[in-house]
Amino acid sequence: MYEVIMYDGGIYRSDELFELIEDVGGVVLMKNRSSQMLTVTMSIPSEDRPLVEALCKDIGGQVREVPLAGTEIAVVGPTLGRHHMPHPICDIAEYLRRCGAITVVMGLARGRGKLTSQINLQETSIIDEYDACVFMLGNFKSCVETKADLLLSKINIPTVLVCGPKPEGIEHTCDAIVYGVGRKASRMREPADRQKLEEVSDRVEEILADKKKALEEDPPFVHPSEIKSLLENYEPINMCLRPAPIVMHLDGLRAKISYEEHREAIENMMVYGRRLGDVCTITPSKINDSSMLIRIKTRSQVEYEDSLKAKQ
Amino acid sequence: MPSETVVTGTDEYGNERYKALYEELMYDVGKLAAVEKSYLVLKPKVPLFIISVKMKALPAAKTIGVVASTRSERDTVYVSISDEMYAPGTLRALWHRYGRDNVQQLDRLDIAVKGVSSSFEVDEIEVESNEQPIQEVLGALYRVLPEGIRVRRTFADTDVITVVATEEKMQPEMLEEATVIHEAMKKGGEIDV
Repeated sequence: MYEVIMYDGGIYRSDELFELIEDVGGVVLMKNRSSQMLTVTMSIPSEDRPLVEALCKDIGGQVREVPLAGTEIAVVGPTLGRHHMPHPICDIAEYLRRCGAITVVMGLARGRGKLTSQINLQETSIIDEYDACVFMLGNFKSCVETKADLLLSKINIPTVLVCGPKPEGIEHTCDAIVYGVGRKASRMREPADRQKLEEVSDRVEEILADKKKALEEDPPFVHPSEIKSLLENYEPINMCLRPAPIVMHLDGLRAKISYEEHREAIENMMVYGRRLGDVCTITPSKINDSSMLIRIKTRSQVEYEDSLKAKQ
Repeated sequence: MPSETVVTGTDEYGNERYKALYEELMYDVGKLAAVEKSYLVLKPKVPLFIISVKMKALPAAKTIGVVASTRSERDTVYVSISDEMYAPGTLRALWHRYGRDNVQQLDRLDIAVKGVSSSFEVDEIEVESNEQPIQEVLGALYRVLPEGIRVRRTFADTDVITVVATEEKMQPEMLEEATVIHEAMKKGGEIDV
């Protein structure tokens, strides 16, 4: 059984930590260096956790629980304008980041207004690329109920609605609702606000736990971290200057390199004696050509395709 | 006397939150203390939003004499700014009048102006017009109004500013309601709409 934890500390003697992770058979999921500070999200065997924790303490860092590690979450608001975007959305995104998730903040092109609000197919396709979505709405009950029905019902991934008043009759449009937030003009730094942020994180954790449970019934052919280790040695990714060039999803990865240029090379990589293109579905991201999505096929899917090939 | 904010509308939760939002945004632009009374009508189902603000006093133009103290020594006038908010405006006005070569900023709030014999001349320079505070209040009100509620009309005369906003056509009855509120705010009486 593997556990995901985060080291938060200095860069000093961090090479010892990386060596230990490798020695115990763990994987570095994300490494983020800012000046002399370092955060490392890692997946390690449970039985070796005390050993890793002791070393982290010894080199002057802290170990934190990261329940959302290995996921990418979209935090969506009706627009990118200053009426909708700042404060609650940024605070939620930051809080989820501290829980280990990679978060992306998005605004709809025509999400504003009561009668003119809409979400288009491209927007829903982009949101559907993520593991889960947190959708933020405002302070008026009638608007929240109308817009939830209009905007959220088109999203196909697990969604948490965050809004001001308690809405009624929209339970079918989302997987969880956190009310009592709404539009604000200041940071969420009061104790009650912090409690709401925790509630959002808990709801996201719950809906992702359901998704994980569903995945366990027919698990991916390989774990995303194994493909991540493989891709890390691919030079264009290794040289990529974008933050987090590889982002793990529950059932695959996002690699931030051009699909057109690198598809063939990635498809021909070998994992457990098979071509990556045979055990994964590789598609360009709907955002643009600068990143690609690698969805790992399930074991039953690979077995079924094998049986088809054998018949031929 | 603290500012009074009255909110009426169809959504109880929204009323409470918009009152806080309005006060917070007015505080951010530094105008909450200058407001005597505010009246907000919030009807999200229509949608119709009216915000009327009565200022404590008619905004007047600010001169350097009001926001700073001045003294003259030989052919130099020393300006010591007392209200930091007007520091950029004071410097800009002095540069414009005397040129950059003659205006020297000694430190953050102290400026020396060369070639001027009388401090009275400097005192009379305008750093902020009387329209500026109204523009700032209007900016804050536009931020309070929901983003999609784009069709807006503004009434701004004497010391009362009223903004009425809706999403599509501005109906005559909406303008009428806003006018009633605007007039009542001017008279300082009870509002009944």
